[in-house]
Amino acid sequence: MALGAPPEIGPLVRTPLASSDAVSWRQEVFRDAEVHSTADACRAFGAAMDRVRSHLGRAGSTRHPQERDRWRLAAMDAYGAGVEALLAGLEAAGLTRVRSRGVIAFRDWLREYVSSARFEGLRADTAGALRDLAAVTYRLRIGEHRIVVGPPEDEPDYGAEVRATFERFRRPGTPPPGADAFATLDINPIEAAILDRVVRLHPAAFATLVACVGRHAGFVDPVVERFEREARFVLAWLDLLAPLRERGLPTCYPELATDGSLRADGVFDLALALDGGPVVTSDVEIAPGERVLLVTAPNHGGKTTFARALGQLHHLAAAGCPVPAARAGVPLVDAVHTHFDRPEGLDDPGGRLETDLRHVGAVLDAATDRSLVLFNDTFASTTAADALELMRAVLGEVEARGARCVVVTFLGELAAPGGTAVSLASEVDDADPDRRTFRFVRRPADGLAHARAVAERHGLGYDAVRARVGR
Amino acid sequence: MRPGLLFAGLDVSPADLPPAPPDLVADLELERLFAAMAAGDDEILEVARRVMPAGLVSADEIRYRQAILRDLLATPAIARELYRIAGEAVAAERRAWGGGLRNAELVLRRSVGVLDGFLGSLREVWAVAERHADDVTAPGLVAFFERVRTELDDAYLAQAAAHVRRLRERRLVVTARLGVGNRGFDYVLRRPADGRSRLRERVGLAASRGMAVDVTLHDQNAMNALAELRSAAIVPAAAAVHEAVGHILGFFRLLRAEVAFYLGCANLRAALVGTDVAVTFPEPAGFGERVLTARGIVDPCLALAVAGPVVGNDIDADGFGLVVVTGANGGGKSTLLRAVGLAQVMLQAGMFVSATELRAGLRSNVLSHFGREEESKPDGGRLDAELRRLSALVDGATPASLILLNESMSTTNERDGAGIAHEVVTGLADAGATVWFVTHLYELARRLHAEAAPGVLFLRAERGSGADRPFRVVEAPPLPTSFGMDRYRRLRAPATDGPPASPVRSPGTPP
Repeated sequence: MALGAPPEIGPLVRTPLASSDAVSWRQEVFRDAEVHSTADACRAFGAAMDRVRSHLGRAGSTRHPQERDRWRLAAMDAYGAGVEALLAGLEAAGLTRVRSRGVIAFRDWLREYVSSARFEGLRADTAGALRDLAAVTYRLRIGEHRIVVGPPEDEPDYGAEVRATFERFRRPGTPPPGADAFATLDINPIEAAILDRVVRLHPAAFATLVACVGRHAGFVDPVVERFEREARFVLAWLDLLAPLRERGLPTCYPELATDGSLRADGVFDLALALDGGPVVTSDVEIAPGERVLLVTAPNHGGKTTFARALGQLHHLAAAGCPVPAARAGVPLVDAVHTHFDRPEGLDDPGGRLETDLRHVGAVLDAATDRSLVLFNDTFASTTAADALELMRAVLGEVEARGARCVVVTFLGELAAPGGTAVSLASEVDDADPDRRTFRFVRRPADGLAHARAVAERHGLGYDAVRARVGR
Repeated sequence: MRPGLLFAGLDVSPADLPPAPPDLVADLELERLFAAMAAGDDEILEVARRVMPAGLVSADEIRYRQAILRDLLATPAIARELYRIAGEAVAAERRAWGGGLRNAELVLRRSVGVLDGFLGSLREVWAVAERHADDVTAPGLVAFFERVRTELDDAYLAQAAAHVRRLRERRLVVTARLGVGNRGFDYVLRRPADGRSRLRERVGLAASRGMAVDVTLHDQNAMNALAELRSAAIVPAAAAVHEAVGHILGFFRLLRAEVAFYLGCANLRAALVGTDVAVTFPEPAGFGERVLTARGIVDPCLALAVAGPVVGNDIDADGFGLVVVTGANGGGKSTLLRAVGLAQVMLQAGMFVSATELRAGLRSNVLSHFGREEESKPDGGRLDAELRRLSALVDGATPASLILLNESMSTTNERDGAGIAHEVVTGLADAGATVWFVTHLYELARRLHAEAAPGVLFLRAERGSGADRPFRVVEAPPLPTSFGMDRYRRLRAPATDGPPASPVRSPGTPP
């Protein structure tokens, strides 16, 4: 059985796609997943597969044969039901809503799989075994030291009789009793001994169980498993964006610019937005020939945030995901390489500048003419003159490699005229977006008007009071 | 089987009622009333705090409670005995060892013990209903006693006692099915038939077919496993008994709480009668109707505080949506406001009121805003705090509210205060609410009087003409002063009766 831990989704979002066709393939899938009916079907399937894994885990950790087989049977049932529900969900959504090449291809495959002899056999055998086991009932006479197992007799439900007697005192909302049946997860030795006798009482039902489990050992199809992994990735990304969209922050499917230009409206930093803080969106436009973007601004002017947002934009567009922007045309990059200034650490044996240089060197070595390179306050640890000289050299190398580059810096001199560099200076809006706007009310000569204005500010004007009380 | 002594139709426990709004408690000095009701009993105190402010909104419900209160005041032994019996039952349950147990078998054993005790208490309740069947006429009490006498009769209690005996047996018979992991589930406790099958089991035919599982005492693991199984098998039965105990406990708790309210009323009446305050059962008018007619209405809290008779007022405010009270400081304006508020609360609690006669419309709620020292902040802050409180009051208001405002809008200058207050009180009154406004804002009172809108009543606190000249509130237009100087002069010249000969100079006047 190829199933172990729940599938990881990290690698998918970490890897940029190589071609624009691959990006649009994935964007199509994302658009399909934005449709609730499709997303719900996939989500439900993920939950079903979680149950399959949990049941198989239990089967693997028990020694009692009938207990183990029953857990396997439960896993088979959860898998079969999950697959059928997934197909039904995709078919229902597919009447109008499934348009992506990826989902259509999978759905067509799934249709064939569900009607295959293998899958139909799994469903029939599982249902038969479950039916037989559900019919098993037995009677226990429990004494101080002996339990006798037997077939049920025609005896009334005594708990129900007790309930009926005291029913007349019932009031709604009485809390249920807090009694835990078992401290252990697996069946205990007495239960195992009872189960052995129940097996003897109902031999046919357990023969069916053994046969059924034996016939369908590796029941999870690898294609289904792979679909689940990829669907999880797509849904997880949309789930991440959902609260931001609710806050009114824009997201979009970027176009891939083939001429190397960048045009994006309403770009924001995803990390900051996810922390729940106030979000500032920016617009940015870079013409085809301009390969280096210099961002200069005073401290705390949102430079780093802006650089981060640009890096996210490029990376996510290349991963085929919807991006944090209102509208975007982005070049397809093979990688986003970054160097962000960090406080000095103990693992900087040659001092901070040495570490920075080595890191920057690695970034430059990795960059290609399809890469985006991000420098954020690089060389901040050294003197301005040195930093200027170093950055000029670094930028020369960046241009030689043909990479695209965003430099966040306090070195305004870098933005020398000419060349392929374009300079952006952030406009600082010092109005705190969290602070309540203070409305200044001009104090007029008429005292009544002033009083009314004060009352109205508190919702206590005549009309407001009438409306508030009357509702 | 519920007492139903507080609510005719609703299944509401006093514990479910929301606590009184803190502003109302403070403004009407309700705690003083609650304390008089409790007379030292914390349970009554807690019930009074919940039940009294949660007003009934139908005349029928009010009469239902009034009738029960009349019966229980006439035969005090009924309430006292029911309160004691229910209290003993509740206390016995609390004493029973192991309330927080998680093991089903121990839960069952404890529950059965408690149940056994409850049966004795139920028998006592039945005896009270038998003994006093002829002492009650209130429909609520008659119906309750009738339920007790038919539903808790000997046959029923004998059946319940039989359950207790059977549940104490150590041997269990259950049926089960196979659940997840083929573990037994859906355990159902069975009542084995007497006779043949029992005999067969005793002979041990089943065991001889190899279907028995024996557990030796020495095998601790197996003994633990057996205990676990017994516990699992008994969960549904334990749940049934635990539930039964919960139901009966709920009944006793409810009975105790409901009776506590009436005991509180009896205590309060005794305290008021001790101060020569007249009490009467008020007559409820329709919901939301602007009706208030009262004779000799007093503030019961004031009477309790001074422990002596206080002067009553007459009110004829039928048809008025806004009552503006002006007049002398210390003239009893606040007292009148409190008297009106308390009478409304007590009427809708189904209680008597402290007046000789009273008829009033029913209100969705009573809201109050008594001007008090707002947290001392620089000037703008105090006004802001007061306006926030007023705004919160408007949030709670409905077209059927009674709203008591006492010196509201005193945190700003008179002109602004009058302007804001005008917006608020006319807005509230025109929305349908009934507003009583005690105010020294002459500009507001004058403006309202000049506007002569219908439904606005002006009352004024005035000194009477008797020997000790107590204040009375009479219908009269506002005057441009609140007699502060008058009072000041009296304080400054205690020896002379009446105003001093020479007027007091204000500091700015030249000698």
